[in-house]
Amino acid sequence: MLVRLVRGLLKAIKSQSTQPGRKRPEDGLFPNGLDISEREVVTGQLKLSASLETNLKNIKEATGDSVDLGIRRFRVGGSQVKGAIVYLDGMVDSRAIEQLIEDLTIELFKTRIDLADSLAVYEAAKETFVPQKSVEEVSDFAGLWDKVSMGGTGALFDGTNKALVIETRGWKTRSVEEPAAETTLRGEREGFIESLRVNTSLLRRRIRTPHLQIKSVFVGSLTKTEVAYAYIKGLASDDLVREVHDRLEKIDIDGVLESGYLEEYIEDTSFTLFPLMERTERPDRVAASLLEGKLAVFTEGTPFVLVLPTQLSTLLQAPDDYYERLPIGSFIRVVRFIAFTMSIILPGFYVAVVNFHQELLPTVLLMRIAASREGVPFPAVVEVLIMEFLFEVLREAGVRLPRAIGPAVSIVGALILGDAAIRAGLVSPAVVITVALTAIASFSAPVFSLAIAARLLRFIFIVLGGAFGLFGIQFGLLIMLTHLSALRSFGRPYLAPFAPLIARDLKDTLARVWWWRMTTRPKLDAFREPKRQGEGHEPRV
Amino acid sequence: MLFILFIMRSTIVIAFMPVLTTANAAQDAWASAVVAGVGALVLVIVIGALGTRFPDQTLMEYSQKLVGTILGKIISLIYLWVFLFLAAIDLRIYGEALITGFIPETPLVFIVTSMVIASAFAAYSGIEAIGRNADFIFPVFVAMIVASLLAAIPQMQLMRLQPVLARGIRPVLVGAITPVAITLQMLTLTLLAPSVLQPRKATRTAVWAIIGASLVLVASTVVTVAVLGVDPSARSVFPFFRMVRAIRLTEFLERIEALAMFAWGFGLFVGVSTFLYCGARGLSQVLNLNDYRPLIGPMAVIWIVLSIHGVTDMFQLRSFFRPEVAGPYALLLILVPQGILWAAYAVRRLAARESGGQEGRAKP
Repeated sequence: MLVRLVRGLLKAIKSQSTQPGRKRPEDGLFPNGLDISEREVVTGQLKLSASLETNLKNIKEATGDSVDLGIRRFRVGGSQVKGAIVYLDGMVDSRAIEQLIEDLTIELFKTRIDLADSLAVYEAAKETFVPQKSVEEVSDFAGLWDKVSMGGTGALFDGTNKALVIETRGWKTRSVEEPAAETTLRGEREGFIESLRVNTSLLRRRIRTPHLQIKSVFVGSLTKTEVAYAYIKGLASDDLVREVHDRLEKIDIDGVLESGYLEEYIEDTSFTLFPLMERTERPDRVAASLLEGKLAVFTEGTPFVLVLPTQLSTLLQAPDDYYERLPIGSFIRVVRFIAFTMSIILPGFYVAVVNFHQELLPTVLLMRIAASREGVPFPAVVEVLIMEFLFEVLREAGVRLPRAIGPAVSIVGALILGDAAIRAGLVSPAVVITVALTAIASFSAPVFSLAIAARLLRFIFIVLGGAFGLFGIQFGLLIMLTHLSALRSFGRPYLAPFAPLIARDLKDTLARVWWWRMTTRPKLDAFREPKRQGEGHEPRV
Repeated sequence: MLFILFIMRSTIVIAFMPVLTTANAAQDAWASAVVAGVGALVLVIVIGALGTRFPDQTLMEYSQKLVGTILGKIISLIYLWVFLFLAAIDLRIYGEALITGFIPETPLVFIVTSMVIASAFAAYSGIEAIGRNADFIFPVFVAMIVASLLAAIPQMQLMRLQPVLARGIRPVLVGAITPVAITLQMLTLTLLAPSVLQPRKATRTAVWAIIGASLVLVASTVVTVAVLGVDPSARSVFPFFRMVRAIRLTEFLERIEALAMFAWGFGLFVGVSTFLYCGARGLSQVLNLNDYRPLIGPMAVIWIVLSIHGVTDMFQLRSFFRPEVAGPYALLLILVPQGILWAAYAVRRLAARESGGQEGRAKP
């Protein structure tokens, strides 16, 4: 009696003295107080055991027996070998699960193997499924969960320390719709969606060559997001492909929810306002870039695909330019270039001219502006800054508001505020015109990320123009130009083909030439195969 | 690189070139300009040809090989002084023009400083960035000059160019001295050439740049004299601007001199950033430093000070550019060091040929 008591006491003391971090048998897999990285280590080392019950217990414990975890037990052929399938509810096609259970029980029974031998059952199951579905063999928890969390179903059998994972993916995705942020008048209406596999299929349907190669990398220690990059082998430079792969591999982050996360990791420098890669929702844009030797990065969970490397002139091109007939296509492109320049410097220019260089304006125009500024209480700089800021607020509100109230903001903002401000004499009509013109000009940028860059630059130019006049604007332009000249996107100069000047590639910049004239691909992107088509394919009468 | 040199040379045109030539040659200024072009060409070939013998080395490096470390360093320092001096003067003239014409109340320091800051930023970004800047600026620059020249055509009176060579050839030649002297700026070639893709073609590129810039010079001289007449263009400080200011195409297209000012600013920026880059790079090689970048900041400050305090006013500057001053000064700075280097090169080559009969390139 006494001896047992002492032993019990000793045991109690021992168990208490054990440090909390160390594993105690009653804690199971995860002792209390493990943080996320320690838990990751435990699950990473977890092997599947031969006992079905242990495996299921471990899985339940690792997932905290989450409500969406589905476990269904079965017995092959009635009684002999126990088994279970593990899946995540909602990630799988429920009909596929029904079918799977039927296969595992009835079909396996029909194969007339020795149902007492668990290994033989396991092998038979593998054989049965191979022809029908994609089946993989895993031997640890991490591998199993990797597949199950992507919509697979794991099949475990008592007596084998391996599991089969059967592809049963079947979650709901948004259907392919017209891209909201990038619309065209002419051209396809399909846009990328949140599912990576659908997105790559959209690309595949446009480029059918086997040399279109898609590789994937998993990024994010917790989200394990699939990131796929696509390129045309032999057209995209091998160095570029390797570089992108290396940069993607190097990312060490817990989660990637949008391609914007990746952008900041893989761009050449973070100290710039300009986007160093293109992001697009349009498969035709991606396909066209790939045909020039570029590379596209797809991210699971976002319709925005990164296209790289990019140049400033590419960011100002829209698909319509190529689809419309040449004169129109070229004309709208020139308009867009002018509009982009305007969206950066127009307000600053206005402030500079009104403050310092009245003599540059024709006399009549000057009198008009002076008359309209009569009685305005602020200096021109403050006036323009206020209006620009107001406009930014309006735009932001317009984006955030539910769609139903959206028009209300524009009415209140544009009509009531603008009109009332002028009537009250707080701002002059000339400023409202300038700001409105700038806003409209900035909407014409086909790539949104470029338009944002222009928004920030605009404020810098307003301040420069207000403080130092046209000289300040020139100073700003020079600094901006130097910055752009030094910028590189994946090693390619950002201002190409203007600087460095590549005469051959000017055919597709400010204006474009006829399609049958586009005999070469851009020099910097297409490394060994610059030829796109033969000469002399112009239509003949 | 073609663009860098071209822009550097043409910037001078807009700045004040016509005044220098008209002062001596009167209505024959254009002939002076042609002569100046030829003279500059010769000098550039002299400068460039030696560099072609050492395609991957800058002047700082090969001069030390040719004439020994100490003399080589002295020559390098002379050239560095040239860069410093020219850039400071360029900046000063630009500042003066801006203040006279556009922003009279702005202090000179401010203009010079901001221009140097922009250039230092470019020099810091490296020669690639400067080159691309020049690539980008070039079309804008040319378009602005051509536009202002074309717009001036209605105001031109070709009668003002007559009589041709009335006072003989002498004034024409004298008038050409100063523009030739400013060929000093082409010394940057000796530092730029090794960074180019094909260093051996650098001289050829420079020759094209000089030819192009000379054409601009001739054209703008003709237009300026034809629009303003001999006397006003000789007396005015910035004749090109006066000419542009005289342009009045229609009711709306008048007072476009801001355009020319912009062109000048862009050109000056390319020029100064090249000087700054070459100066810093050259100095780092003289001092055996690995990186030129740390030198840019201090040098920029020195330049600001020099361009403001080096010259008291515009008139002193003008008297410096008189042929009898600028001519000998510049030729001394180009010809003497170049002469020494060529002589050393010839001697070494002869010695090499005698000793081993090796062909061609001297590798001491």
